[in-house]
Amino acid sequence: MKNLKDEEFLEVVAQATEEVMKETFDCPEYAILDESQRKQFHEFGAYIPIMHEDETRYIAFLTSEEICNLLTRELFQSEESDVLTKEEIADAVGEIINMIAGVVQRKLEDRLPNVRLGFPIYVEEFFDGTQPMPKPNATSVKAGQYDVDLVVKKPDLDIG
Amino acid sequence: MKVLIVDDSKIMRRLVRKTLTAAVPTELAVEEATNGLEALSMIDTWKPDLVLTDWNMPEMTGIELIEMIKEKALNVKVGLITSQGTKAMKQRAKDAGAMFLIHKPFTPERIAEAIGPMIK
Repeated sequence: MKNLKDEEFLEVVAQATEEVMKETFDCPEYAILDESQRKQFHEFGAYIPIMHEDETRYIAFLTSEEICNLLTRELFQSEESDVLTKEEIADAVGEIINMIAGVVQRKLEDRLPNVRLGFPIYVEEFFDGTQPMPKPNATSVKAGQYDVDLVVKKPDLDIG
Repeated sequence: MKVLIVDDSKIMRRLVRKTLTAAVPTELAVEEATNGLEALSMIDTWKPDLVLTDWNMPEMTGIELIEMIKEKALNVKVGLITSQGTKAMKQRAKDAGAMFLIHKPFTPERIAEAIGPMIK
């Protein structure tokens, strides 16, 4: 991953997210937001380690607690009255980042052969949400009704 | 036709079951296992015709499960439904004896295309 800048990595993650959100959630529209449209950094979601040789990057899919619930309901096809457990939400959001990472792995195959994926980890506080989004490691997208932040980072920063 | 779905994710087992039912016109009997060891036990007792397994699972990966099935000479067809799937992984799956590899996210059409030829 030494030859891949974080901006390039993030671009691939954004493309992969578009594929997953359109195919899994039938999101009709997908847009990368410019800086003026970005809101405060979201904290709920999941991240997954991507390993290549001796290097690791985390990619994260972060959104609001409410959107995590909506995405989980859609995947489970559960009614609004059904109570979701934390395990179900973690499972659903973990699968979303897992699918995104799989698409990233395939898209980068020619440049980074033998990339390995770890297991997804659910988080409720990825960064301090009061801080501005770190650049160039993060971007915000709107997939249908869902606002999402995407992050690529080295594992040396603290994760909540 | 009896199909065993193997995935550590409850939501993915549910999605695969739902998509499978929508994709295949034949009546299917579907059971689920949450890991490779449980799957091996169910293959022995329930005797499915087809196993659909995830690749990336704790304890025993999908490819290790396929290798165990081959080693034990169990008479069951196996396909992978996985987020991963580079050319090298596809080749490894093929060499291990997998009938097909379907990427996540998947559609009923992709599942029908892979499983259709196996329906008796």
